[in-house]
Amino acid sequence: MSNSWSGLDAKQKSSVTAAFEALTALDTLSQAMATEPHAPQIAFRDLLAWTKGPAANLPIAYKQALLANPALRRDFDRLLSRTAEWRCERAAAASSGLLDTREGNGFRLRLKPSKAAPGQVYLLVEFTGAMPETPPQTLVVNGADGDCVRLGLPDLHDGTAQVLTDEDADVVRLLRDPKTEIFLW
Amino acid sequence: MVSLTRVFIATTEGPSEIQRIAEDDPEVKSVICLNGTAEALPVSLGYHSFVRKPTGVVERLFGCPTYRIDVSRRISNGQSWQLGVLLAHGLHAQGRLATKDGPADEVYWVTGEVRHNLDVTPVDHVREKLRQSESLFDGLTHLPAKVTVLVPDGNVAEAEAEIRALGLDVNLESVRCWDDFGLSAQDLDPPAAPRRVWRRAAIGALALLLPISAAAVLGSWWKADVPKAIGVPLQPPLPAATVQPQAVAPPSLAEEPSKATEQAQPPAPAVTPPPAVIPEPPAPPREASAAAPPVATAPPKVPPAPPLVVSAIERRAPLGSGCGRLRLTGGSTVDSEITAAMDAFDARSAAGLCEVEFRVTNPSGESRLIGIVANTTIEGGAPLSASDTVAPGGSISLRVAPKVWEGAKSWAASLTVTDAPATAGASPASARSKTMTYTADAPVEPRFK
Repeated sequence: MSNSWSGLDAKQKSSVTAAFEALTALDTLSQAMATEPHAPQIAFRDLLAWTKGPAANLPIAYKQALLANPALRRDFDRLLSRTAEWRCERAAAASSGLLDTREGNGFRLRLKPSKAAPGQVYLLVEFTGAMPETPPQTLVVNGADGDCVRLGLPDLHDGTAQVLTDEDADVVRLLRDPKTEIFLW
Repeated sequence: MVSLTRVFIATTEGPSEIQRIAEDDPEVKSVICLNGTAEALPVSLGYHSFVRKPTGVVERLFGCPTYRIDVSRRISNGQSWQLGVLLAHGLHAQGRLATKDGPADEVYWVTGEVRHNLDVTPVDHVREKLRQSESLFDGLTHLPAKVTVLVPDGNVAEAEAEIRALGLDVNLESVRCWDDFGLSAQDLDPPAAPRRVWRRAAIGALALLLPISAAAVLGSWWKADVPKAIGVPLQPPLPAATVQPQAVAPPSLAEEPSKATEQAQPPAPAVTPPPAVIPEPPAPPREASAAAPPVATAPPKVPPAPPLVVSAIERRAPLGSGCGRLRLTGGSTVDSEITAAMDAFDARSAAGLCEVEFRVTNPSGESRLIGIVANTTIEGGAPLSASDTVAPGGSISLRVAPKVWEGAKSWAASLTVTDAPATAGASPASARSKTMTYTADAPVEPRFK
């Protein structure tokens, strides 16, 4: 039995369209699941491209590669160290709990909850020494477990760059973690 | 009940509603954010400078060094947001700024730049900003609220011309100095006498030709109704050396008198406006709290939400062209907007009709959840739908496009529009639904006549 499209009434056409949409969605999901085992290998050049690309969290595939490959992890740490002009080491062993202030070489990073908008927090990058000739435009927070976020910084104003973000953003979580390192460039 | 005013910042991309103002930690910089999110707009740094002493004026006038403003639409660059933002701060200081989803008795559409000495200077693109706000004004005509376009003195002529060209039913006011408003924090106390503002209550050539002195005599040029509108009686220009009595200054300002404080209103006998011209100003509240005595306004009323405005923007191929050719060449369509009469649009011609955008505008003073579903007879066309929370004056759209390659065929669309208050806990009984039809008829070819 066959029906022409023009022979269907509006309700039938609507049902057919909905069915096609559902099948298309199923196909898309199936293809994504099927390709997952064949995820591309992450190489050093990919990590290099990430540091130079648009600000974004490190993709999950990259994190998995860093966890699975200690040599790649060492290369990545060295890449961040050499790219950064300012750095904040992991907090001292005496540090416990979550941090709201991180002291780096020549800069301080503070998290200040917004009074005007609960659930949001100001991230303040303050330069404590001489003002940099070329202000940093990138902030990277690198965790021990492969978590890594990269954030674009706005222009400095009175020696401070201010970013407003959500309290539960990855960058806030990582900055409060004393085991993370901070890089600016 | 305090009368509330909603402020829209005019931009070339469309009006941006100031949704709220809140004080923030003095250690951070002031920000302008989008829709309550953590997205600080690029204009934030300029706003911070506009707020913070010594460059800024907001801290000087209202005392707090850090604010956060939420707006409904991006404000990209420039300084023309300053007058609207300052007006919003003045209203906020008096508890009169209408917030997102809240009611409003009055709407101000504002553009203008404010100098450090509080002079208001002209800005560019006023015509374009008005054009981009046309749908807002159309929606607001259904509101009981008074709608006012406020521009710098130097922009009155072009604003007036554009308002007339667009056929807008709004008040036009102009200002040349922020002090004309009397909305600084120290003005929370009743001023002694009304203040004159360069107002164009009626739009006409006469308004531009008559000298201001004549306006004072004629009387109708005086801003007699502004005390009700903004909540503060207006005063005549004041001597710069006059000092505001400390007893009426708010505590935060009493410690550090500002330039604005020094320019504040003189004792009552100092200025006597023409008695036959200026009505007795109502007494404003002493403080911005809700408990303060209200201005003499009518008791609050909750009118039923006005009906949604449903319109269709038809996009047609120019004469001698076709929709398919436009798609290939990227040419422009000829657009026209029609509104629905009762439950149907007048029958339209399908000839050259490339696309119809059905637009539903929220004319009420509160945000509403609006849904629109279009079922068409276009072959292969699936039902289309859209829904969103629409701010006052905002709109939601749905586009229907017949197939461009099949020539003009008759088609029809059945539109179902539903809406309900977007406020939490709104009664389901307050939801409404309406169905209307749009018909595009193919022209009958001569051989079939």
